[in-house]
Amino acid sequence: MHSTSNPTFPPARPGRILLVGDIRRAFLDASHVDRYPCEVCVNVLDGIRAAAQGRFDVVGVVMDGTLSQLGSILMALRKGTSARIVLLAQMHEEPIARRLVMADPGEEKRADAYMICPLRLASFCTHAQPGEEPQTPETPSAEREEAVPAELERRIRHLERLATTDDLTGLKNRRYIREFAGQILEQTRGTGRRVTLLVFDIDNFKHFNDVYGHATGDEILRQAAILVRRCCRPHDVVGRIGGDEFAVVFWDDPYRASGDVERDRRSAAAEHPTEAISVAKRFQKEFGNADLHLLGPAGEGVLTISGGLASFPRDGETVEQLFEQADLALLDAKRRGKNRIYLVGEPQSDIAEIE
Amino acid sequence: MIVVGDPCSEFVRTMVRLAREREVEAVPCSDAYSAVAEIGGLSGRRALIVGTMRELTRENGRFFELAAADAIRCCCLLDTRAAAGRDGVLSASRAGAAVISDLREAEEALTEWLAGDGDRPRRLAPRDLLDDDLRATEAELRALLGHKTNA
Repeated sequence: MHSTSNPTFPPARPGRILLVGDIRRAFLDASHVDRYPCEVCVNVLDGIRAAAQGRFDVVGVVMDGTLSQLGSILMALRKGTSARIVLLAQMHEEPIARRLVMADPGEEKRADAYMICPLRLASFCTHAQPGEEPQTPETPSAEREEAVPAELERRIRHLERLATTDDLTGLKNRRYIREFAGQILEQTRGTGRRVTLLVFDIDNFKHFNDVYGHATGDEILRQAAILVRRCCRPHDVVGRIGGDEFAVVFWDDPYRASGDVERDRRSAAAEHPTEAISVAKRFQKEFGNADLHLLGPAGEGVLTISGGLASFPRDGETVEQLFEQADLALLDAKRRGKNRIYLVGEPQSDIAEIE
Repeated sequence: MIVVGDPCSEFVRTMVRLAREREVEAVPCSDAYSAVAEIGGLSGRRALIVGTMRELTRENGRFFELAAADAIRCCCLLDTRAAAGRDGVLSASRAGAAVISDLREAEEALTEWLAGDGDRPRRLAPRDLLDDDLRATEAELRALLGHKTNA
């Protein structure tokens, strides 16, 4: 199984690796898998059985196509093997992958790490090993050379992380949000599921910057990011898309919705997802209650936001259309007095008026 | 005995009780994935799998093929309230699994297995089924459907 002809492998101690699922979805060089110390099981049941019978150091699970049963599959893998379980996620599956590697209190972790696909097998075989850095997203990089030394690979991954994260707030950046939204729309198209985009900004942010200085302005943005993240569901993707402007992509988590497809489809028929509206209402409440100590005695209750909510497929079929519609609703909210979030639609309506 | 299905269901609770009454180790598994992990850890020990059709037919009936490869006897409980799925019944039959319709039949399968008659010969693939196996399975299906056999 080892290949001496491959310059990228072996690393110091190559562990045995089991790959479960359709590896063509995960690896750019899947056809070369026989060069690596990997065993492949396309069928999930075969994978669970192999994991229980074999002595693997790592089990890589391709998430795509297994989402609805992923929890059960991972529990079964855990039951049968002590190997490190690494999820191979597409970008749009990252929120689910992240949740699965973080255990709820009193629960065992479903997986040990995740990596964002597509990857090269050499990279996976190196970084999925126990002791290596986990949960590091890797963005698509078709041009990457096969022969990349480990240290250079780490640096590339660090740069990739920088390229998708907003360094001020730690949220995702504009590029990531748009890419994620694009991928999730493609995944959702024709399934009856829903995606809703919220775009909002902080009212009078320029005033805070001018009066209190840019350092204070930055701190307000950081506080806002914490508030938004706290209000969202774990799988919603939050980003700062510029200045004081933020975006949230609300989407149906198929892992969570498994077994309840009928309920989910009925919800999708609603004009706007009620969950997204209730989360947006929570934002407004949290922002209204926020006490910005850095502004002194005047800091309580001064932070308000205005926003627009646009839903796929009702208000737009593409990322551009959804952003355009949500931006228009945001502008309307500003014109009508700020501190409100408008739904795109005819007529537009303030979510505060929706039960 | 591996019992596959909702752990809170009457079926699973009854099967676990019946097994324990007969001093048989009973391992409840909530789904087919978990059951496969159990099979993987059997290390050649004799086993009987009793489960709901819904669970055992996951992944296009691959579960039956895995069990058959280890010569493990499977019994599938048809859920009369749900669409059992023709393909599921067929894949169960082809792999030599017994299709049962109630707990009484499940108990009979357990008794038969304990008597040592429940194991099928190890087959490499469903195509290796003997004609006798197919006839027996067809008879089981006919009985389930309430039809008289021609033989």
